[in-house]
Amino acid sequence: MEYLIDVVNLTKYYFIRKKLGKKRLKIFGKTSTEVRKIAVVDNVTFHVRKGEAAVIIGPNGAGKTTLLKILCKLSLPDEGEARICGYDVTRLKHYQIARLATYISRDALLGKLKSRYTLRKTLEHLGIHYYAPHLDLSVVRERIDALLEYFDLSDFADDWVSKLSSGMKMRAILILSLLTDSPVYLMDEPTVNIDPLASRRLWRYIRRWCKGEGKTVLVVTQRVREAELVADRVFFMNKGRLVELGDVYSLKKLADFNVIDMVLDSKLDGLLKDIGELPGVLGVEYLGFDGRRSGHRFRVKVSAKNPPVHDVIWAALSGGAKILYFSLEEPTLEDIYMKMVGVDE
Amino acid sequence: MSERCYEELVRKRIPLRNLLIITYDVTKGMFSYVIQYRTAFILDVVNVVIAVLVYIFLGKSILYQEGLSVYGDVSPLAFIISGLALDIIARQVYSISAYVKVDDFEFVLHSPMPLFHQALLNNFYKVVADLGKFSIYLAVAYVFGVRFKVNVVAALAMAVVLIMFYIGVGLVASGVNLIIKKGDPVNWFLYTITDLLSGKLFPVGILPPVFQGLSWVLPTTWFYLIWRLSTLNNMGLFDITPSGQPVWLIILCLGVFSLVLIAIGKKTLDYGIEKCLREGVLP
Repeated sequence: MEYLIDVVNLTKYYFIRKKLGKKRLKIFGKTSTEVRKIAVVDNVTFHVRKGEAAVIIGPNGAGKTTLLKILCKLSLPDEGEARICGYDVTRLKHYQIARLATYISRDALLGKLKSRYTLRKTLEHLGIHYYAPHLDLSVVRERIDALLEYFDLSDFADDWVSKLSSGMKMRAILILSLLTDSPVYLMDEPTVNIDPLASRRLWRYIRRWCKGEGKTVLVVTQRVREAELVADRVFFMNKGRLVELGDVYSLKKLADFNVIDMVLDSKLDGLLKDIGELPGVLGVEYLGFDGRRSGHRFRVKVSAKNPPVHDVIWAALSGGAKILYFSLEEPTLEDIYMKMVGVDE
Repeated sequence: MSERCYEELVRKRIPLRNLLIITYDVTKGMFSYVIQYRTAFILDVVNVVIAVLVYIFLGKSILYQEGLSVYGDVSPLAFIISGLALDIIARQVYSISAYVKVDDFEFVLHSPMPLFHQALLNNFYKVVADLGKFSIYLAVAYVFGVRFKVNVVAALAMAVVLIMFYIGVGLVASGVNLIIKKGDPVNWFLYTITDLLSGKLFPVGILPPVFQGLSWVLPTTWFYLIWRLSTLNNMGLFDITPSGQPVWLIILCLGVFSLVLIAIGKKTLDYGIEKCLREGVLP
């Protein structure tokens, strides 16, 4: 099996220096410091196959971005090995890695989109300078045109780039990132500041890319719902460790709970307590007034084995409420994510 | 909330006490910030002193024409213009080789184009612009009566070595900046100290003896000396300079020094990049 991303026992430490003693102004000499060693990436092992889209989700500070940076040698590991297309990344030069794996980070590019060129000219300029200098200019231009069309920016192609909204600039960054022809793409929160339509298009594009052209994509995102749209496999990362992995379907099967989504015509006093005390109910939450269904919305987490559906309905009806909507659903990836990072409502 | 309340909210003045607290906090914060970066603070103070000294010596050289005799029959205007013109080339070469910066470190590094190519291609427009600037300096000087007596071979040889030297300095500066992550001490040393000691704007001969001793240790002093002798006084490679050495020997020494500097610069840059990759780019 061909692994294009191959990570074995990867560990990266950061050293945090904390000043000790009373804070005072010192022009000469140094104040004493305490050094703490923290594993931001802690003995991580995983592989991503050719044509696969993998997503890493996890809370802030979990080490996700550092992991991506190690994969493209923008950070060096302290232990373990990271390979892209079979090459040990620490042995390659940066420009060689950039040809194998495109690292997409919005922060780096946003500052570059300040030129006084039109959008098309800017994309052409940055594309040929930084992303695809090894490609033919005509190919780059063709791709730019196609991507401008795909991301609904054709009408703005001849506008000054400085006049574009931040969402449009983010879409422009996506276009730039997709110009290259590298086999591996490492994406760090690619849909931040992008409207839902554009982000859905991006994920669709990535899926088509992976399945049609055999591209390998590793995405870091906090938008767990979006991960469901694209991921062949999901990795959860927390405190430097990759805690669990699998495809979305089997992850959902792994979950030991289901979710009841219920809308009632009134918000009954004591209903939360009554439902919460039922056997098989793991948690209950009032989500507020649902304007679409003109009722009060509740979310009940119930055990996957013998979910107490009848008991929950009975509790609501016996309180005198009318049920406007009721559904028993599999947990979303977000529910599973919340459980894994230890947040339980 | 009543209409009157809104009126009050709109017209309410910020209390004087709050204004004073804000002023105190910001002032204290700024001073703490300045003192926290000790090197930058000390360099700022030294800069002020050096700027004053430069103007004093510049005034002396123009008013009394002191120290110019070493360069032959040269006017103060010709002396200053030729120094400034050389400075343009030096700064340009420096800025190209100091291409890698903390600000867009990751962006520059993670490109399918090697760093060396990026540095050259992205700065080519500056080279063209500065060659234009260089020509304007010379043209203006010509209009004001400055006549250059150029020995083309010596001037070109010197220019090549000068470019090598500043490539080396730029690489060292890039590496050092990545290591310390804040400030640009090499740039400071190069331009502030050399403005004072290397004879860019006034002859080294008018400096106090202690400063003169330091001055002749700096390679930049020799660059300015040879540049002026070869462009203002038609001095060739085999002529003897006022300090007693043949021009070719000085250029050779500067060339060897520059090659060593390039090697050191490459090592420093590699070390700086590796340090950033290990520890991150934040200061």
